Amino acid sequence: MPRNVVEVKDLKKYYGETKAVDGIEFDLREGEVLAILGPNGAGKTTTVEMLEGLRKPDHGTIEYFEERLPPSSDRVKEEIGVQLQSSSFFEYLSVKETLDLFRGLYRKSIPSKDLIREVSLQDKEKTYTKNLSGGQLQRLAVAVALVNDPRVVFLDEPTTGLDPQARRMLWETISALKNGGKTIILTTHYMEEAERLADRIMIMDQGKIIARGTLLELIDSIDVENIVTFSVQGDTPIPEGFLEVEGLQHTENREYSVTTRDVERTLGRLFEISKEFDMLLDDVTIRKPNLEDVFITLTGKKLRD
Amino acid sequence: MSRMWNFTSGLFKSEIREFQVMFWSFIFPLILYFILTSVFGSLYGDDTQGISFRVGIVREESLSGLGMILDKVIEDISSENGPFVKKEYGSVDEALIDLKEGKQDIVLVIPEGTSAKIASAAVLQTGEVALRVHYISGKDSSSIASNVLSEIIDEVNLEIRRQSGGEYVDVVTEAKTVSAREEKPFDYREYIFPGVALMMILSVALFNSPIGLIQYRVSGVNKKLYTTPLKPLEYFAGHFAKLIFTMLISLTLLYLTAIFVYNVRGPILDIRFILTLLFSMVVTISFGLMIASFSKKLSTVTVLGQTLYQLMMFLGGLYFPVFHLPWGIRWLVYALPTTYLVELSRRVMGYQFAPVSLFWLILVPIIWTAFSTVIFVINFKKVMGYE
Repeated sequence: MPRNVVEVKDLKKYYGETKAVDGIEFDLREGEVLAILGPNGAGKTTTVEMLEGLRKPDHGTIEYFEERLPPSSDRVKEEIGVQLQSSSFFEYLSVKETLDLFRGLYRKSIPSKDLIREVSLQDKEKTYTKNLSGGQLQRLAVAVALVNDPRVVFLDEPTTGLDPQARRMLWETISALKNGGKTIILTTHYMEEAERLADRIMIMDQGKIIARGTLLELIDSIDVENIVTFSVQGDTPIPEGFLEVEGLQHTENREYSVTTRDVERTLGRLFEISKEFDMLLDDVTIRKPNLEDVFITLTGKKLRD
Repeated sequence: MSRMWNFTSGLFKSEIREFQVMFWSFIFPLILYFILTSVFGSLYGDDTQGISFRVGIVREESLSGLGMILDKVIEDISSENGPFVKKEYGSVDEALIDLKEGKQDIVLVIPEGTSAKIASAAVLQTGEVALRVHYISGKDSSSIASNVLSEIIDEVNLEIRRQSGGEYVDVVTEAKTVSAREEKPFDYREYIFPGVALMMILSVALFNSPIGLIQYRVSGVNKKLYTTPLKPLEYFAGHFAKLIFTMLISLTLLYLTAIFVYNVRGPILDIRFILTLLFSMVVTISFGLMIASFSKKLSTVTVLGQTLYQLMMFLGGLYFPVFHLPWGIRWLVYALPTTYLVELSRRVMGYQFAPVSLFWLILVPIIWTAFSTVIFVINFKKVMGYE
C-alpha cells in the first residue's frame, strides 16, 4: 500500500459569505495522479493554492510526508513543484535562462538541458519567454515545476486554452511524469484529460467534494448503463410535454440526453412522443456513460458551465 | 546567499534587456546632460548683474557725526534697487552662524569706536579706519559680495572727504575669511552633473523599481516565486541589488561622458561626492518602495511614480536653484528629499546654493529613508502578498 504524501483534514476557506472550500478531506498517495474536477468556482484552485502554501486555510490541516509538515515549511517548498493556472515568467529571459534562474532557487535540481528535452522545447532554448506561444509557455511552466525534481507536482489546468495538438503534447509529458513515479495533483476542466491521466478523480462543486474514486468507480456509482443522445430539428419551441420524458436532460442548444438501463424501451418512448408533438429527432446515438455523464448526473450541469 | 545572487542576476538580465529600461536608465541621462550643458553651459559665467547679495550687519556701536555717512550708505545699498539685502544682528557670533549656514553672503562688522575714529581721522589725520568684512572664500557669491562692498566703502571715503571739507579719511574693509576653501570658479558642466546623476537615480528608483514590483505581482511572476523556497527578504534584497547594479552602470556612463567629453574631473571623483551619490541611491530606492507599497494597480503606481518624479526633479533643484520660489510652493522644495540630496552633492563640490546647514542636508534624507522603509514594511504584505 503506497504511503500518503499529503493528508488534508476539514479544510475550509471562506471569502465573506462565499464558501470557496467547505470542509473537504482527502489524501494523496505516493506515485498517484489525483485529478480534481469541477466547474468554475467549484473551489479547485483555492484548494490547490492552500496545498501549495499560497493561501492560508481558515480551518483544517494540510500535512506533508511522514513528518506532517505544513505547506509553508522550507522542506515542503523544496519538495513540491508548482505549475500555476496562468504562467508568467520574466519576459526577457530565454527558456534556458528561466530554468537556470528557478534551478538556482532550490538545493537540488535537474540540468536545464534535460528539462528542455523532456518538454520538447529544444528549438526554443534561446527564445525569450515573451516570444513563446501559449502551448510552449505551458510546457515551460511544467518544466519549471520540475526543476527541483519534486516529490509532489501540482498542475493547475495545464492544458486550458491550448489547441488540440499542444494539449496532446502536454498530455504525453504528464504521462511520462506519471510513468516516472511522480505524485501529481491535476486540476482540469477536461474530462478526457482526467480519464486519460488520473488514477483517482475527485469531483468538487460549491466548495465540497461530491464524489471521488477511480474512473470506473465513479461511472458505476451513477447506476447508468447507457446514454441515448439526440438533437431536435427545427427552431420551434420544445413542447412542455416532451421535457417530461423520464431521465431526460438538456445538454446544449437543442441537444438532449436520456440515461437508461433499457435502451429499446427508451428509444421507443422517444419516437412515440416526438410523433405525438410533431418533432423530428436527429443524430440519435447510444453510448456507454463517461465522466461527463457522472458529472452531469451529480451536479445537474455540464463541467464547463 | 547564492540563491539571492542567482535571483538578482536573472532579474537584472531580464530588465536590462528591456528597451524602455535601457533608454530611460542609460541613454536619456546622457542626452539630458548633453542638452543642458549645450544650452545653459555658456549662459552662466561671472556675470553677476541683477544679483542681490545678502549682508549681515553687526553694529558694535551706533554711528554718529561723520560716521552717519556710513549709515546712510548702508541704507542706500540695501534699498529696493541696491545690490544688497541687509539683516541686522546683535552679535558677531550670531551673524557668523548664518554666514556659515549660507543665509548671508557676507557679514559687515562696524567695530566699537568707529565714529570717533572717523572724526579723529578727519580732523587729526590719524590714519585709516577699519571695518571688518567676513566672507566665505571659495564661495562665489560671498567673494563677489566682499569685493563689491570694498568698492562701495571707497565711495564712502570720498563722501566723508567732501563733507569734512576736503580732509582725507581712509575707511577700509578688513577681510576675514570664514572658510578656508580655495577659490572656485562656477562651472555649469560641473554644477549640473549631480542634477543629472540624481535624475538618473530617480528614474531607476521611482520608475523601474515600483513599476517592476507591481508588474511582477500583477502578471503572476511573484506568485510563482512564492511557491519556491525564495524568502521575502531574499526577494527584496535581490530587487535592491538589481537597482543598485542598474544605477551603477548608468552612473559609470555618465561619469565617462563627464570626464572624457566635458573634461569634468576633480570634484566628481572625490570619494565624498561618490558617497553622496550612494546615499542618494539608498534614499530614493526606499522612496520608490514606499510608492510601490501604496499601489495595487500598475496604473496607480505609474501615475504616482511619474508625479513624484517630476516634482522631485524640478522642485528638488536638480537643474536650477529653487530657493527663491514663492512660499506657496517653496514648502514643497523644503519637503522633498532630492532638494537636500542634490545640495549635499554640490556642497561637497564646493558650491552652496541652499540656505541649509550640512546637518539638515544629511538628516532630512535619513528621516525620509526611515519613514519610507517603515511605511513599506507595514504595507508590503498587503500589497505584495498573494492573499
